[in-house]
Amino acid sequence: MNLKSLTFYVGSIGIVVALFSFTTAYGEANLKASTKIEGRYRIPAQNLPGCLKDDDPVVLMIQQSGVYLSASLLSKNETSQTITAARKKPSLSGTWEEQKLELSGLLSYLDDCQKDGERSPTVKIEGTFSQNNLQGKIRLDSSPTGINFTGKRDSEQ
Amino acid sequence: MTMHFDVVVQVLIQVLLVIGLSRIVGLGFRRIKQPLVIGEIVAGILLGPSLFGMVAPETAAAVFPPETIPFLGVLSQIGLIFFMFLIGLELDPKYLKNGLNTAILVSHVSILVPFSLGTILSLLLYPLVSSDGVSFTAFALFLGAAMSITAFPVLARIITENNLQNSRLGALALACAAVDDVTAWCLLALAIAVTRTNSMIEALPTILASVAYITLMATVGRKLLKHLATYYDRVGKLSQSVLAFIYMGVVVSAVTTELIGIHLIFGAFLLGAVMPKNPGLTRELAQKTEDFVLTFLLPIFFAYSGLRTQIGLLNRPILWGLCLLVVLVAIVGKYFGTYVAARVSGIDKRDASALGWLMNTRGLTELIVLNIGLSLGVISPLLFTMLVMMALVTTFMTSPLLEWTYPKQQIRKTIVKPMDEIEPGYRVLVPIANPSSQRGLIQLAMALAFGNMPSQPRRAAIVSPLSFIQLEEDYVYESTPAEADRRLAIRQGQLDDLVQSLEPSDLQKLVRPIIQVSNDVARATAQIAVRDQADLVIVGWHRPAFSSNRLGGRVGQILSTAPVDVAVYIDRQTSKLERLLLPYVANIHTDLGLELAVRLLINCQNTDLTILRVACDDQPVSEFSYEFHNLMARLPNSVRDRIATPIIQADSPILAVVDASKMADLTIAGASREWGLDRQTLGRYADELAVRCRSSLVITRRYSHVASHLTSILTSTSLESGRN
Repeated sequence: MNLKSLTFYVGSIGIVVALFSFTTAYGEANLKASTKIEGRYRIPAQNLPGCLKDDDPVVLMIQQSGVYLSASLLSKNETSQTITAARKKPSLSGTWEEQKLELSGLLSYLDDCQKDGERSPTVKIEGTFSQNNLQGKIRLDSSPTGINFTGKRDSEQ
Repeated sequence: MTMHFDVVVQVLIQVLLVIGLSRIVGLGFRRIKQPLVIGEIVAGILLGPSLFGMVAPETAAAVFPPETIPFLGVLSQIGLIFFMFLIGLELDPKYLKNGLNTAILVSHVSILVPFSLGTILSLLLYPLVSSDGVSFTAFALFLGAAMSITAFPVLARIITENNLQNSRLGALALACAAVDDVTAWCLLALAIAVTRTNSMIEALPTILASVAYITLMATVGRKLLKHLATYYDRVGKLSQSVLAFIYMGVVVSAVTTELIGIHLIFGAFLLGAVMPKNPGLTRELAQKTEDFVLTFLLPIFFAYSGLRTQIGLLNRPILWGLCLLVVLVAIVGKYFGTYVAARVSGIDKRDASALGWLMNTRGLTELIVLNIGLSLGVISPLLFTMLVMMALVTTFMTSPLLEWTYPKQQIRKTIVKPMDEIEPGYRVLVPIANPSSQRGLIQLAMALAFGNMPSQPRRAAIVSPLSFIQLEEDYVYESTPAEADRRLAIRQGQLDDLVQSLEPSDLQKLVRPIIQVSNDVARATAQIAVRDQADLVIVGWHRPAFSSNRLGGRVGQILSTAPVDVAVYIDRQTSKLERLLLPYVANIHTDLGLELAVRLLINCQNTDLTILRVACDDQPVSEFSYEFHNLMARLPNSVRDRIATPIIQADSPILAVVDASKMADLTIAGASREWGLDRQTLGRYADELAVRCRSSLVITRRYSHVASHLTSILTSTSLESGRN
């Protein structure tokens, strides 16, 4: 290897190591990834609006990729086939930023919310997360105001 | 779907679906000139939530219930271990013999640049798509490693398919990819160690243990395995006991690296890499292992990976934007890293650019890395999906971009040794399938090109027997560059023997074989015919014993696709070429036949030609065309004297010709309906004459209306003098 190549080689490795050290030092110190909130949340449904009331409790299943969420509302005794289907095609999507959760979409997986020949109703969920608990408002397209809810994360994952 | 099967049955049904679909999609991708493996990866994705799960979530959930997934996982891990062993086995130090220094420099820089860009990209991606359980260092390392992968096996196949393996570019790319592979695996091992312990410092014991194990394998392990090669040479075959021993070794090595804290795949790869590269042993071992692994287990890995790929997660424009950014960073980093390093090493622009595209091939190596990352939780499902897209795009684009920067003509210039520079006036291309049985075909081509009389003054003409090595499968050992080379050398030997046996021997040097790798014989023939400006393609045909499609298959494809004049030769084992028969019908294909017949008359002085016309009750006799009279007028008397033009009365033209062919050595017929020869309807009715003709037969099909097969020969001075 000639001198020019060697200089180029050593130089580029040096630069990359320096860059990597600097970037990781900066990243470790300043960048924070979002808290993991993925899981299944059991939500008591007595007070929930519309068709949600009939399933007690409903389960909010959240899948997470950083700040991006996908989720589905399921009934408690859902078959594993529907749960798998909901994992493959989640009916809600949203974000989890600055400790604020936002989800919206359809209620495709709740049988009580399906009426023949009609689209599944839409739902909006906003909330915050602390210590395995999800707190917030849930709103169906039919009702103008949101209803407060609390959900507790199942320990089994 | 309420049926409930035993888990084993469910898994087997899944396997059935997976293997079937990946074959179909894989072969579909082959048709569009892409590696089979991309098709298999795509098939896996189609079975997952990206398509099947999206369209029919309930059915997809019923077909792939969660309790079966661990079983698929185990099968795919086993497949992966043995696949990695095969990759290691294929990694021959021979690839490094040329320009090792350049290769190390280029490949390391081609890792460093995308790695750095990946690190910088993680500043943006980490807060968005990672979660707090993952340290930034691990994330950055992983993303960097994912960006810098080059898939040696896919690259090696692309190189072989383009006949580049012996060019400077090909050798360099192979060496780079080999170095790259090893380096990237080390980088990945580091990333895994850091992810598992969550810091560089704590990963140190794992790293040291890995280095110790690699050293052990490369020294003691290698030495012990050498005995295997000695043993193999003595016994001459790989017994099942030895195979069992080797497979146990693979598993032990895989488990060791897993226990050290890196991953199963490294141990398997390492064992493959330190196996003695005894050609016989390696080939037999690879062939015994690969069929089951590649057709059965690897598709399961792709499906397993596809089940985790969820394109539906990219559900907002910003995410597509990020995905695009990931793809761009990967491409740009790899391309420019390679390009700059190659230029610094003194490689010219075009080669450097082609190398940049080649090194971008990430293929399934990337998929292996990503699945490890997803399993460890260091990359999220969303990032996994983006990186899978990146792997697909970068692999998909390699072949077309390589073709764009490095067109086939260019490749040829760098490989083919220039011959003595005569510019032949006439070129005949002879595709041959079996060098040992097609001597008659080549003799005919020689007679057409320059005559077979030793005393005949040599025409400026060349006959090129054309032989293809077909690489049917993507990953099989047979299609590795070294193996393809071995097969090319064998075929070259066969063709050289064939040329040596041709008469007269002083014309042997005008017979110049072309041998190359190709999967599509008809298309490659057409390309070479255009590239070399061949005047005629002459191809042999044997009637298949059990098929009604007589002129179909490869000959039919060449006949209907080659953009040059084509002659199909049906050999009835006649050694002489003294009595030619040409059934005449006024059409362009017969004109071609006539021109070839006249070439034979001029080239071989003992030959005479009967141009036969048949008069039927319902059809008047075919008049000679203007072109025919024109041609006759141009012929010298010495040739014209040897042409007879009888007319006979008969009920059926074809029977009359069959009858006349009994007296001929060679019948030449233009492809036309009268003889049941019509190139548009090759197949069942196509070739009555081909079957019934009693002499050897040449069927001619005209493509070019302007090319004349007589120009080079009628203007030569020897004929001018003979004319007077």
